Amino acid sequence: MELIINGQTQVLEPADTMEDVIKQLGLLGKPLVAEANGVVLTAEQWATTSVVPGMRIELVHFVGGG
Amino acid sequence: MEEMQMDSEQMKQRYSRQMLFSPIGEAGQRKLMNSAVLIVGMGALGTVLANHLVRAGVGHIRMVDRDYVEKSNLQRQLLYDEQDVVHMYPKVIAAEKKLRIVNSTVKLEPVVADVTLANIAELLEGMDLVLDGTDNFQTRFLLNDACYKAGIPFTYGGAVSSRGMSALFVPGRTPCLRCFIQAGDSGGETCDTIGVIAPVVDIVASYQAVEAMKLLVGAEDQRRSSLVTFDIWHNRFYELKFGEPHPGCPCCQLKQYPALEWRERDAAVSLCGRETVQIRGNAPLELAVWKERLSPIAREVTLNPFLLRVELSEGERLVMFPDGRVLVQGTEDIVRAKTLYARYIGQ
Repeated sequence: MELIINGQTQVLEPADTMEDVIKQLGLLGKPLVAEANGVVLTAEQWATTSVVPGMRIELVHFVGGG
Repeated sequence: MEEMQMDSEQMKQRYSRQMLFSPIGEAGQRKLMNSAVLIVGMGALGTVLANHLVRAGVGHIRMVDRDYVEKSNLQRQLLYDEQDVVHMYPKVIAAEKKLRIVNSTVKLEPVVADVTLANIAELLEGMDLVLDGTDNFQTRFLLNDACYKAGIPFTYGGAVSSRGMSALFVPGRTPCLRCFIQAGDSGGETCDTIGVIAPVVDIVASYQAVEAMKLLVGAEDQRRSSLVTFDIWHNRFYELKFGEPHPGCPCCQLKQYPALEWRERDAAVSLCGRETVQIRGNAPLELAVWKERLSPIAREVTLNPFLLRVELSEGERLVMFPDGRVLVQGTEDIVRAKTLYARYIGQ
């Protein structure tokens, strides 16, 4: 499945939801905000947000250093 | 806001270029001079923040940090130098020394302390804004919750590797940090494990500083209502627009402020990636007394007015502070650190 993640086209295993995508990328549990087609999703919405091929996804990692 | 007196001519000489910038002007300059801010963490972000705000003439700057200057800081923590390492100055003391000769009209208030539930309210007292220079999410959540409860704006900043981000959170106006993330795990990616380059830190802190200036001069319509994120090595910039606060946010919506709930705090914490365990003792330490006590049994003991460093024959090192904190360096094993603490300090 082709998705545009952080501006780059990436091919992932088929995924139904945003949670599947985040899980495939090994990012579950990380301090992360997901945005799909310009809409910010809370972590509770990941499991119910469908993903479709070509979707633009931004995954923003919160950075802890200082 | 605090009252800060300065002759109008002196003010024009010092701040002329900033006052010529019309969104600030003379009125804005006076607001900056009558403002009070707290910078939490005087590492890479904190030193850049303090440098900007002291030069800009913010009237009262309270700086708090628990650590002292080490050689690995010098690559990016721009207020420190090799002499600070030799003297083992606490960061806020070294920073104050530099900043005082940059702008003697600013009231500088250095505080050597670990920011905790026990002292956060006192640190926020009289402050108009809090600037995040911390290196961990635990303290950020504490700042976020304490600021929202007290109605004080809070600028988040973070940097690691070549990546950085920043946002200004304003109680009653914007979402808060907890609206975006609930977990505070940095996934093992810290400046001590994957490194950081200085330019990204400067950029993040500069974003924080400019939002601070807008806030303090009252330029509300110009405030950035987004979270800025970038990777300056891989040439990527992205802005995450603020939406509505998360309806279930335990801080800004449900007003539960989880970090402010008292619970049994861990007296010992491992400082990520630094081979250091911090132990908070329950009584102050009289450093001169401890120097006499430990000198005969330690390999080397060094005392300065702010801390006592004890090289142990076991290979580890104790760094003791008057407020009762002890850093056990050379181990990340909390049990080992507690053993050494019990062996030498024994409280």
